[in-house]
Amino acid sequence: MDSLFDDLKRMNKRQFLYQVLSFGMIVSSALMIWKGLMVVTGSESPIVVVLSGSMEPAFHRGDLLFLTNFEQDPIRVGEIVVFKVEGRDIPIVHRVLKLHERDNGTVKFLTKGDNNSVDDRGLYAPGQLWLTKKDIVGRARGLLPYVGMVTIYMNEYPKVKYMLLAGLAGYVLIHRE
Amino acid sequence: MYRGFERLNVVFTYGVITLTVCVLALNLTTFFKDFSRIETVNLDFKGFSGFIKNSSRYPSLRVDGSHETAFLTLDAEADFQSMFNWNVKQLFVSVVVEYVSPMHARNEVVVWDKIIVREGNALINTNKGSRYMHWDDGTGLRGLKANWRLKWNVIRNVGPMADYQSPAYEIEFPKEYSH
Repeated sequence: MDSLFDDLKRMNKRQFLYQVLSFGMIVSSALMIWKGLMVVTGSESPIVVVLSGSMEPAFHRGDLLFLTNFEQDPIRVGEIVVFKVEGRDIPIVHRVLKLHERDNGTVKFLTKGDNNSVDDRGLYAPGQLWLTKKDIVGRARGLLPYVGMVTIYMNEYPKVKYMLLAGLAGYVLIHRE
Repeated sequence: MYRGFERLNVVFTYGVITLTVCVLALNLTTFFKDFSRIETVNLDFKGFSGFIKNSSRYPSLRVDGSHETAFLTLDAEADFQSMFNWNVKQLFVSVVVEYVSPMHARNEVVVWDKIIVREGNALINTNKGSRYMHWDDGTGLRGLKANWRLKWNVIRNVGPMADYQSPAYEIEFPKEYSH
């Protein structure tokens, strides 16, 4: 246990300040990468974790999805979209089943989960029959399985999350490169 | 304790790098595979085995206002077997009807779809009739000239997703309601 703090003991004030700064660097670059991804993909949440089995066997709980949401890229039937519904915290990942587009470009569409037997009208807000562009968080473009389980575990057991974060932060602070 | 941390860190980093290389290699081996061509045995529009009618009489179906609906029968036999490789998890095949109606410049309606996860089931045949009713958003179906086509969405075990489609085939809806 003593050896854990050896590096720290040998540091003077300035060296310790440097450790704090480099810790700040790590946090801010992570934030920059996330915000940068938002700009590049046009999506407010470029990476999402699948939480339900309604798109099985394509997506399972814990899969990571990469999204884009380009303005000039029209939504078409058969695409997998991630959308938000008023009154629900968690965005839903489902496939577009029907779509109607007017002359002026306004578009409305209906979605359905591959593993569900009925369309999503029962999931939408009361009285809502269609989704429009403003409900869309992004369109699924890539898949990385299993990795999202980490965030699911962390959200289910907040203690694990705080321990992990504290551990990592402590490690960066007291460990010298 | 300190040594333990260090070792865990190294093992974890090494594991992540190894997995990343494997994933990239897996994608590289399947990246140039052409998914855009299907082996088509027969694509034929059989007609309307069901009906075309105005469905405003069914308020329980939670649609807004007066709508025409139809039930069509297509005979699409297509072979997707050649598309499977070790990085294909699922094909999602659908039959889409595309048309212009008085109210909308573009309508796209899925009337049939199928999830294929095994090569052995990759020969599709839609001749049992469509899975979904064709609901128009309005009353634009009578005498309508529309297009239909097959669309398929390839989902890899890991990697990018992609959409493909067949050429369009014409269909003409009946001029009168059938009931």
